[in-house]
Amino acid sequence: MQMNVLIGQLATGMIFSVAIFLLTLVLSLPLGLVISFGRMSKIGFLRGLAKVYISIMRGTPLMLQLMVVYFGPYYLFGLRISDRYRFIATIIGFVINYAAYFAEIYRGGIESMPKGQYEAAQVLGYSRFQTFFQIILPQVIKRILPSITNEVITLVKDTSLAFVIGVTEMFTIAKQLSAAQTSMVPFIAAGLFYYIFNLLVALVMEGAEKKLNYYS
Amino acid sequence: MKLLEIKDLHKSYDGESVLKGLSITVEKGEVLAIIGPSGSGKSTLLRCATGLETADSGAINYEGRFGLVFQNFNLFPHYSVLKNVCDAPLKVQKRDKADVKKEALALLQKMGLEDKANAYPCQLSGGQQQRVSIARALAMHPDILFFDEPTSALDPELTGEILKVIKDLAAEDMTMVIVTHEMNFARQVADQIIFMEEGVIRLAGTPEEIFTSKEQRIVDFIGKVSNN
Repeated sequence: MQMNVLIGQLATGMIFSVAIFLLTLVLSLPLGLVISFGRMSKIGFLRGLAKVYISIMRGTPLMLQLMVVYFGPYYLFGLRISDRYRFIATIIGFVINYAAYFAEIYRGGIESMPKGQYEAAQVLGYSRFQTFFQIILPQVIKRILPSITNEVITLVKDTSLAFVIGVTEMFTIAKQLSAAQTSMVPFIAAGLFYYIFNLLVALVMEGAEKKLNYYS
Repeated sequence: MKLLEIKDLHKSYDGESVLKGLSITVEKGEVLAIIGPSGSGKSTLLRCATGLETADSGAINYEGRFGLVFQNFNLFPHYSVLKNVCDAPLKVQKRDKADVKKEALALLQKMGLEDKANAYPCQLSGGQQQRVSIARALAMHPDILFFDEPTSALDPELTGEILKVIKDLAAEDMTMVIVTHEMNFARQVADQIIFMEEGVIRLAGTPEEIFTSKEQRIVDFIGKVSNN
């Protein structure tokens, strides 16, 4: 097989990988914030619920979670699984998993904020909403960016797990090509793809960190 | 005219009584200094008066608005100096943008910081940060301004610049309540001084009355603090 054909096929798979990556980030970052609110809630029930949720999401394999989300509707309710649901299940699985990790990162950042920032905002008359979104959260984001970068880089590699429910992302294709050709080359090419993807991610995150470096 | 009236304020933490029935009044244009040893309840009184703590019982009545200057400035580090001063008048009071900016620049000039408008708090000295925080409080047009040990986080050489700013404000008849350890300053700037200890007012009076008091506890305290 020609090298350019190989690369073309992997690139097609890459589109799915990138789609999983972007959708997961766009959805799990806000969801994580909501879960962190639950985790820090004054209401004991909400706090407990968030704690159990985070514990399960972090304590069991993502691969297993993907299978539960994908096969669950059939095994639990006898619903027929459509082909389209494959991709939706992947996104749901990734989002609920990553949101749990992000929630803990947010919590760490929010709890590290000095009390004086809240007090200054209160005395100046800012609403609780304004205080959080204008005063606290921007500073929290700066503090947690390095931890977020770690998760985002892991996410790039984790997208390969979508193969377990048959989503034809890049890794799935690399596996098929490798088996068909009894060659290591597709794997190496896929590895390069992931590596370059992550180099870009690291570059973007580094840029973001630099951008927030205007104050300390 | 009374701007602030606090009546019979009680506050305790975990069963430990910190304020034991405090009453103070502040008249318009008056400067009230609160002195006393650590743990006497001075800061708690200020925190209750500004709503940062809820008193267990008692009444707090205001005429108009108040502002608070913190010991540790508590500027917003991600905002420029100018934005620190302008943001609350714009977002909280919804005042006109051009007016607010103009006034903020005038306040910064008054604080000797006109060249720092676009700097960030982390680029300023402690004394400069404290002056920004005073400008930030003044930008809200408070009728009464509280200071919680405004020089305690500063190097001795920087305290003078803050004390001068407060003196200038006093000369403009700004109503102020100042918790401080600076005895000489309290003596110079205050109209009334309250000496607090163990959650009660031990002695209240004019600076002359306090500093010439024969009461042994107060003589000891003033002597000890002034010798530092």
